[in-house]
Amino acid sequence: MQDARLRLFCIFALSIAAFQSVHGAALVFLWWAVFSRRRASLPPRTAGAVVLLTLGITAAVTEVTAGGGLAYFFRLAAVFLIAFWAYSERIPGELLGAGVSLFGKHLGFDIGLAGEMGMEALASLEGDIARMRMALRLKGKGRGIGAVVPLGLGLLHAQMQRSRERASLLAVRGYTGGGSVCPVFIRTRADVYAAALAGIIVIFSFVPLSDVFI
Amino acid sequence: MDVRLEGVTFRRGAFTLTCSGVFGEGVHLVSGRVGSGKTTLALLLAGLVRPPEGTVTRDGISSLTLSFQNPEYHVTEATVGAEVSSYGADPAEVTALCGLADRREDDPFTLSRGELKRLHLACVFTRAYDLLILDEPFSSLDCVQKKRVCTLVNERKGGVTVIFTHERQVLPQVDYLWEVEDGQVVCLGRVPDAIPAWRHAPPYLRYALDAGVVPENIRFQDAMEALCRTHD
Repeated sequence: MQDARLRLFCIFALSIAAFQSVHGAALVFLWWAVFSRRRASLPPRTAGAVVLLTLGITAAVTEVTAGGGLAYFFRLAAVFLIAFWAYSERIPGELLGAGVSLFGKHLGFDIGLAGEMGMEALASLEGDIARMRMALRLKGKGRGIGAVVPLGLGLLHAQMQRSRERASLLAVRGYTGGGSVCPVFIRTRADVYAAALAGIIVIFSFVPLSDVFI
Repeated sequence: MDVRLEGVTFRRGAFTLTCSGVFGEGVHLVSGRVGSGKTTLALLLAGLVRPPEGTVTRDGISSLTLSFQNPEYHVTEATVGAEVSSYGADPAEVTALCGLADRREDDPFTLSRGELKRLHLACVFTRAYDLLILDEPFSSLDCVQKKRVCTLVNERKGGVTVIFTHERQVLPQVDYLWEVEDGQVVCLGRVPDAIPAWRHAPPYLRYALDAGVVPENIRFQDAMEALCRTHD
């Protein structure tokens, strides 16, 4: 999907639909199967496994303590699927354009800039984790629970350092809030169909199944 | 003792890096633009990534390390002293060597990037690795510290040293020059014969070459000596 504004709409609509109900989540899975690049939109195996494992543990605990863990797992898995799809489709700079286009030069620019910086931080996180794990391996500390603390501290420090540098750069360039961007959006017919279907899915997710199948 | 790359091809999205060649004993300097694949080559040499095509063989190499451009990646301990010990080095000796003797109890992350880089490199050079790979070892360092790193590189006895750098002012004596260009790793050959073909040569070397002289090596003083000899 090339139009960032439509993609943002799909992300919001589908996330709400998936979280709202189990049949909403099922429809989101179907939407993902039709409109995403499927395997190409998934994260690397390890990252995917970590997310699934975390989700699985939380769902199991919920199932045992309060019930509904399976439904929780199914709904959250759909939300994550949409998140992975959105991340794989991103193009640097488009959030800034979408922000300005949707909310104007002041608030829109600030929201877009914050979004861009967040996405950039996520992308750099991927590289940082890979390099830190390699560095730990070189020191013979690559495995086990002992590696978690230095890895976490290193990541935290790297992100804080980057944020400081980014803030200084923005200040040096005279940023105080707002800015101008003249974005150009390319919209295909498939983008419009996907967004329309996402809108329908979010409506269906709020309708109880018993009202649909009488 | 060498690292042999045979028909190695590494792909990530639209990026492809191909390499065939032997990194034998001595100091190798690899240059190339940002994003040309230098760090990927460093990871391949260290065995930290496996090539999907081709083979990387490390013959006679029993110990190796890679120093990343960002020294923060290597930090594993809570104090500077413990960090030095994690390399198997003596904290008192190393911290004194790099002017951080009074910071031994400090958190390594409270050091500046330059101080941390200095500390990390000092730790790396305490061991005689058979294969030492340095990715941008001069970044974040001032001229004095860059010269110190050059001395440490040139004082290494034996082994394979591979330096990946953009540095254009302070360089060590090297034995071989390599370039990464358009996704291909090319060995330009032995120094000094390889110098005229070096596209990423620093300005002082380019100046000497334009003046019709080929310095003995790639350091600033090599260019100066070559130019002065011409005028004698």
